[in-house]
Amino acid sequence: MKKGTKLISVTLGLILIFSVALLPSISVFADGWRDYRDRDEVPSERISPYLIDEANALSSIDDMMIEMAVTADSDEYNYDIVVVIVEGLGDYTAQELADDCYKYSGFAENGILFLLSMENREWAISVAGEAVNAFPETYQKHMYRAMKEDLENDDWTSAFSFGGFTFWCGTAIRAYEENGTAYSVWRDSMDREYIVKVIITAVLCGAMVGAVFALIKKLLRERNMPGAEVGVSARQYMDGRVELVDQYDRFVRNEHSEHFVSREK
Amino acid sequence: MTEIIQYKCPNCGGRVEFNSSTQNMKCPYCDSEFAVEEASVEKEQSAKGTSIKDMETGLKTYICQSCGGELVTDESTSAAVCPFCESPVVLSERISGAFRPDQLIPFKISKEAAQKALLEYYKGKIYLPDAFVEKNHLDEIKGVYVPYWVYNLTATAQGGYKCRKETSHRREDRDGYWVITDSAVYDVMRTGNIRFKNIPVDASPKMDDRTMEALEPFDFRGAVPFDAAYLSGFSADRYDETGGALMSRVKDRIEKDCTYALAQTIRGYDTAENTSIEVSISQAEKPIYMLCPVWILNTSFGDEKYRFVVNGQTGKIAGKLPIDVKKKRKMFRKDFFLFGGIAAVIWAIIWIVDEIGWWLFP
Repeated sequence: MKKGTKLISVTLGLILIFSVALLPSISVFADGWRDYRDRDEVPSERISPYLIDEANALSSIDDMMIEMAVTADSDEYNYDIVVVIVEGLGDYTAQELADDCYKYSGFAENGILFLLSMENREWAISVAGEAVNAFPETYQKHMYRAMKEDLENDDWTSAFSFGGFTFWCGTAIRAYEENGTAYSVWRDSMDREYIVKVIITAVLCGAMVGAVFALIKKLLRERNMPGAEVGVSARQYMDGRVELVDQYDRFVRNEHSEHFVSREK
Repeated sequence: MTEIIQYKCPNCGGRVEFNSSTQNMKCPYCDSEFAVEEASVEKEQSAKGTSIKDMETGLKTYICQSCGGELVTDESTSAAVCPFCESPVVLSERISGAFRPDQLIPFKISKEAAQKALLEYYKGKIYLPDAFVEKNHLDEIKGVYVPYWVYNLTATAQGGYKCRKETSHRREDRDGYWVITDSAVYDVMRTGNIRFKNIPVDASPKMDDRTMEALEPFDFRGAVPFDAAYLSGFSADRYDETGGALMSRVKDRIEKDCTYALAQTIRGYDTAENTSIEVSISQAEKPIYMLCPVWILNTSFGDEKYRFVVNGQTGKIAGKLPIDVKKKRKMFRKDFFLFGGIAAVIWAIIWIVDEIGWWLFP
């Protein structure tokens, strides 16, 4: 009995010792990036997921789709590709918050983080390591422009997952790895198709405006050309006003009508 | 036998004519001027009346007392100028009896002023062929006293109208609102007299009615009792259509104005719909037979002949101008490419600036 009691005591003691020893590491894992920032301590490994939705803006489907996209691309390109949605910015700017989030989440050396504040729709992109070269400022603006409409419509999956943010991240990283230089937004914007589009619309617009103005000028000039004379009013020969000699105003009936106007219209 | 009247200068015996600038008779030979009433008349019986050949065409031949040349006129001409010696002649039979005008508005605009008015008329007419202006040559400039009937009358117009007085208000509903309108419908009738003063209607079928209407108005305060001396130096026609026969044209002219004027008497309603209108001339004074001054300028361009008429009292001009179709098309193309080009460039610039702007200010 004594021997059994001792065994139990030893076992409990060991559990207690292990528990005390493990306590700091457990508490470290449970801390969020804000806790690390408060302590100004950069975690040695990633403590946050690739999708952080602090504002609870995403539906479960959006959450799943975006998480899947950013995780897959992060694994594929060895760049951490992160999306963060916060409720507000507090005392920070969007850029400060994005930089802090990337730094204190323990993300990889190379990576990109897109932060969006739901409060005022401010946004910022934080880049780290090689991503600084792969994502120059012009490219970041280009990315935002591509996502803007979806973000305005709260179409989060389109904005962030395949075809959106992750697509533009993949394009930039691949171009950088292949050429050693950032992806040319000019090339993207000013490709042949784009230029043809600009020219066609400019020509169509010009043709319409030209036709309208030329027609107006033609009509004005034609008006200035006397053609067949039209009948001239005899009003100028009227001597005084109409002298009423007989008149009546007879009431016939009352009419009532109701007409509904929909607010949608 | 026709009596030909020619006015002589009391100083030199030359043929005198009415001068529009001074409103006096003027001798072109000795520059003497005297009042219309002072003009001495030389009358002569023209021995040559109507020949058989002339009867077929309706033309009449007269002998000019100055040069003996033959002056051929149609049946309605009452004053002319000899084509050989340019002496003015007045054919008295055409201005006597029923054909004697009651009044006349003397020419105030000279021949030169009429030509100038035509050149002014060309200005700003961008579709006018360049050659028409540059090589402009007037085939004929003729001062003509055109016969007019001038009407003073009262028209009676009777109109029926369906009028409404409306009140409407809104009633809010969950998905929108109701517009509720209550109307009181009235049957309205108006009969009114409208007086017209001095409506001129040209009585010569040689002149286009619409063109002559475009020359109006004449200032009838400038009308004087008829004196044949005013015709000296000008052509004149007598009326071919009587005052009674032209009444239908007068009615056509006033009908629209009567309808409009009567509608103006409907007041106090929100809407008025005209259901019937009847205009009649209820009272008309005897029309005044009047001669009004008109300069006729004939020109030709290509195979076409163009006639312009200038109001000899006010200088107002009317007449159809030729249009250079090639020039018209060329100007349309020019405007199209000019405005279209500018619009296309602006469009492209906006697009590009928008593109660059996005990078600078996303």
